[in-house]
Amino acid sequence: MRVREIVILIIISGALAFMLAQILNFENYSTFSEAKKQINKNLTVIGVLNTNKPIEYFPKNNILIFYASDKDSIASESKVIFLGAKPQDFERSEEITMTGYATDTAFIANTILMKCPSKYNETNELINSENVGVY
Amino acid sequence: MEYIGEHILPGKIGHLFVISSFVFAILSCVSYFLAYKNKEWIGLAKFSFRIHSISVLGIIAVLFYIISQHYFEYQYVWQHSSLSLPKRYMISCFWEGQEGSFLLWMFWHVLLGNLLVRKINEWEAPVMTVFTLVQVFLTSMLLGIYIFGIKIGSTPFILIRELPEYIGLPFTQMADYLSLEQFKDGRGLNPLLQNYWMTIHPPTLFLGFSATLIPFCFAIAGLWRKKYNEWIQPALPWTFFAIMILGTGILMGGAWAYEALSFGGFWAWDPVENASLVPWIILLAAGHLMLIQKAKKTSAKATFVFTLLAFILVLYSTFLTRSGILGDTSVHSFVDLGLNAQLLCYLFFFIALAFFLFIYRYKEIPSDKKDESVYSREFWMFIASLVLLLASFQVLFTTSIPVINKVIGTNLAPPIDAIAHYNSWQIPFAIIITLLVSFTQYLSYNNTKTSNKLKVLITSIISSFLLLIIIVFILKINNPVYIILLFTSIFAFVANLVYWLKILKGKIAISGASIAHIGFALIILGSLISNGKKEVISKNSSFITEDISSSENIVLEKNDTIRMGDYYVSWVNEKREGINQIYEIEYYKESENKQLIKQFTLEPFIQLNETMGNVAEPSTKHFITKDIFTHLTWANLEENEDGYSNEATLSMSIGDTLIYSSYFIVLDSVTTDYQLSKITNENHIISLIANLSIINMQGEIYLANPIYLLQDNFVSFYDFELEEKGLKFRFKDLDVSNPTSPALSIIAWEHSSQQKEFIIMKAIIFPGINLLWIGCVIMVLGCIIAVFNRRKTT
Repeated sequence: MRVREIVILIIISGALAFMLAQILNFENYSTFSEAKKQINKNLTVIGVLNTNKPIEYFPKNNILIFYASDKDSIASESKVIFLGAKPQDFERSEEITMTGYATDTAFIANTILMKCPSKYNETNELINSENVGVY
Repeated sequence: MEYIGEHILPGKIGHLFVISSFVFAILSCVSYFLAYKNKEWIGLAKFSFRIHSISVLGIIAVLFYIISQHYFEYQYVWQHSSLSLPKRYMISCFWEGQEGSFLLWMFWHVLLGNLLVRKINEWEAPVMTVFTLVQVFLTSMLLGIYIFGIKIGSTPFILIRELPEYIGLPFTQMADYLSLEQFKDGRGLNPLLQNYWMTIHPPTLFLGFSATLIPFCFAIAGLWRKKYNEWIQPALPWTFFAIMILGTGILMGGAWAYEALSFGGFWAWDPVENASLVPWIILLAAGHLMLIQKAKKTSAKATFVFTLLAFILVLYSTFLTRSGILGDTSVHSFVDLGLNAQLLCYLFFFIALAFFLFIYRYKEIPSDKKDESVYSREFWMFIASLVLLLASFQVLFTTSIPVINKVIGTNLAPPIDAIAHYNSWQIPFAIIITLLVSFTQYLSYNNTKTSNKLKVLITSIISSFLLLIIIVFILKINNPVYIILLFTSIFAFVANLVYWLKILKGKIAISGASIAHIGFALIILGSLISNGKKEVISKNSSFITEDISSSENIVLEKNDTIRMGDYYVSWVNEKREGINQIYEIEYYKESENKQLIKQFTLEPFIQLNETMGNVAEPSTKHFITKDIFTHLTWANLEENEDGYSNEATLSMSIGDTLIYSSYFIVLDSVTTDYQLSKITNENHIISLIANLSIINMQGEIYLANPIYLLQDNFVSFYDFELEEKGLKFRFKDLDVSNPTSPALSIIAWEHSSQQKEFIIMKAIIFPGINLLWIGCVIMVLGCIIAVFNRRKTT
C-alpha cells in the first residue's frame, strides 16, 4: 500500500468518526416539559410566546422576562428570563428558539431567535388592513 | 380598466429582455454543444451569447431605471427602495431582493464569459456549453411565468397589483390605486444594507461565485474532451482569481459585520457565512491540487473531484441561503420565494452532470504510477488539500443540520454555543494547515535533497520560537491549544517571509505563493489574538442570582463618569443625524496626579427605522495594537406625550409601604368624598380616595390623593399630579375579595425631567485585529501576483 492511500484511509475514517461523534453529541430540539425534568442542563427549546401575559424588559439589568409554552401544551408554560435586550417586534414573534437551562422557577435563556411572519405576509397584512377603510 | 399613473412600458421591455436572455442562452448552449463536433455552429453560438449578454445588460438597465424613477407600482421598487434613499445606495437595492441578486450573478457571468471566450481557442465549444447551460438555469429564475400551474422563476418586473397574493384585493380594482397612501413611497432599503461595505461585499462575493464556475467548466470540458491534464493550464489563473475574489468577498462580509453589527466580532460562524466559506476552502484545495497536477501530472482524479465539488458547493450554498431552510438557525437568510423546487433542480442537475461524467470517464483518467516520496512537496500539498476537505466538511455538516432534519426527519438542534463548537474543531485544523503552509514550500517536487533550504528552515523555526515566547509573555496567553496555534501561525509567517527573502531573493514575480501564505498566516494570527484575548471591559459587577452575572453591559447615567476597564467613560451628549440617534461617549484615562485626561470620543448610534426595526450600530476606536469596540444595548427612545414614563403598578393594602423610584409610598387610608358621591334611586355615584404619603430621602412628606369614581358600573379616574416632584398617581382598581384588607392597584409615573437619563453600553477590546486586516490585504496581493504569473506562463 502506498503512503498516500494510507493517509486517505486515515482521513476518511476520521471523517466518519467525526460524523458519528457529531450525531451522538448533538442534542435534539427540546421542549419546556423536558427542560423542567432536567434542571440546569443546557438545551435548545422551541416555544410559543404567550402574549396574554406581560412581557417586561428591565433596561438597567438588561433582562427580558416573558412567558412561553410548548406548541402543543399550555400546561408546559414557563417563565423565561432572557439575559439580554428585547429584540425588535418581539411581541409579534410566532415561535422562539431559545438556548439555556431550566431552574426551579424559570427558564434562563442565553440566546433567543425569533421566527416572525415572513416579510411578504407582512406586506400582505398591511395592504389588507389599510384597505378596510376605503370600502 | 385603465389604471392611472402606471408606467407599464419599462416593465414590458424588461420582461422582453428576460425572455430574450433566456431564449438566447438556450440557443447559445445548444449551438456551442453542436459546435464541439461541427465547427460551423460556432458563429451562431457566439452570436447568441452576444445577444444573451446584451439582454442581461438590458434587464439591469431597465431595473435600474424603474428604481431611479421611483415607479412604486413595481413590486420590486416598492419593496426595496424609497424616495428618501440616498443615490449612492440605489445600486444596493439590486441585491436586497433575490431576483436582483440572481441578476447580479448573471451580470458577472456575462462579463467573465465575454472575457473568457476571447482566448480559449479549442476549449471554447465545450467550456462555453457548460457556461451557457448555467446561464439558462439562472435566467429561468427571473422568468416569472406559470407552466401548468408551476411557478418558474420570479420576475423583478411584476406590478404590485399583479402579485398572486394580492389578486382580488379591493385596491387592485381601483383605477387610481397609486394615489393610496401606502403606494406613494416604497418600503425602503434595509438600513443595515445602507453601509459602504454592503455596497461592495455582495458584488465581490458574487464575482467570486461566478469565477468559481470557470474552473468547473474547464474540468467538465477536460472530462468531455478526454484531455485529463491539459485543462489545468487555462483553468489555473481563473482558479486563483476566484480564490482571491471569493476570499475578499467573505472577508468584506466580516468587515461589515464588525463595522455595522453589534454581535461583537467579525466572524460568528453564522450558517450564511459558513455557506460561502465552505466552497472557498474546497476551491483553495482544488487550486493547490491543480498546481501538483501541472507540475507532476499526478493527482488527476482528486483534482477533478475538488474542482467539481467547489462549484457544486456554491450551488448548495445558494440553496441554503435562498430556500429559507436556515430560518431557525440564522439571523440573515433570504425569505422563501417559492423557488425551492427550481433551486433544487439547478443543484441536482449539475451534481448529476459532474458525477456521471466523472464516473463514465473514471477508468480513463490517468492514475499515479509510482509512490511519491514523503520528502516531496506534492505529498504534503496533497495532505494539506485533504485536511482542508475535512475542515470544510465539519463546517458543512454542522451548517447543514436543518437540511439533515428535513431529509431524514430527525429533530437535531444545532450546537448550543456555535462559536465554541466550531472553534473546538477548527483550531486543530488551523494548527495542521499553518504547519503545512510553513514548511511545504521548502521541499522540492519529486524528492528533496538535504540542501541549504533546510538550514534556512531551521533558522526560521528558532526565530519563530523566540517570537512566540515574546508574544506569549506580552499577551499573557495561557491556553496550551492557543499557544500551539500561535506557534504554528508565527512559524508559517516567518518561514514564508524567509523563503521569499532568502530563497526567492525577494523577487516579486515568482513570489505569489509566499506572499499569499504570509497573508494567510497573519489572518490566522489576527483571528487568534483578537478572539482569544478579547476582553469585555464593560462587565457588570452586580449579579442577578449568586451565579448569574447580570450582564456584560454597564449602565451609564448622563454626565456621570464611571470606571470601565483601564478607562473612565462618560456619556456627555446625544444628537440626531437623519435616521441616526447618536450618543457621544468620552473616554478618559487617569494620569499620575489623579487627573482625568480625555483620550477620545466614540459615537455609537441607534439607527431608527420604523419598517425594519431599530438597529444599534457600534463605534470603534482603532489603535495600532488594538480596537475598542463600543455599542449600545439599550437607550430610551420612547417618551409619552405628557412626559410621564417609568410606569409601575403598586398593589397595596391599607398600611402598606412600597418603594417607587427614590420614594417610600405609604397607603394611609381609603376615604370617600360625600360631595362627589350621590346615592339616590336613579344614580349610584361612589367615590373612593386613596390617601398616599410620599416620603423622600430627606424624610419630607407629601400627600397624594388619586380618586376612583364608580358611576353605574362606569369607572373613571382622577389622577393626582405631584408637580413639584414630577410624580403622578392613579387609583386604578380595587380588589375586595378579602373584605378585611382590600387591595388597591395604584399606578405611579415619574416625569422624565425627574428621572436620570441612562444608556446601557457594551465595550470590548480586540487586540491585534489589525494583523487580520493586514493579512487580508497581503493575501490578496499574493493572489494577484500568482494570477499574473500563471497567466504569463500560459
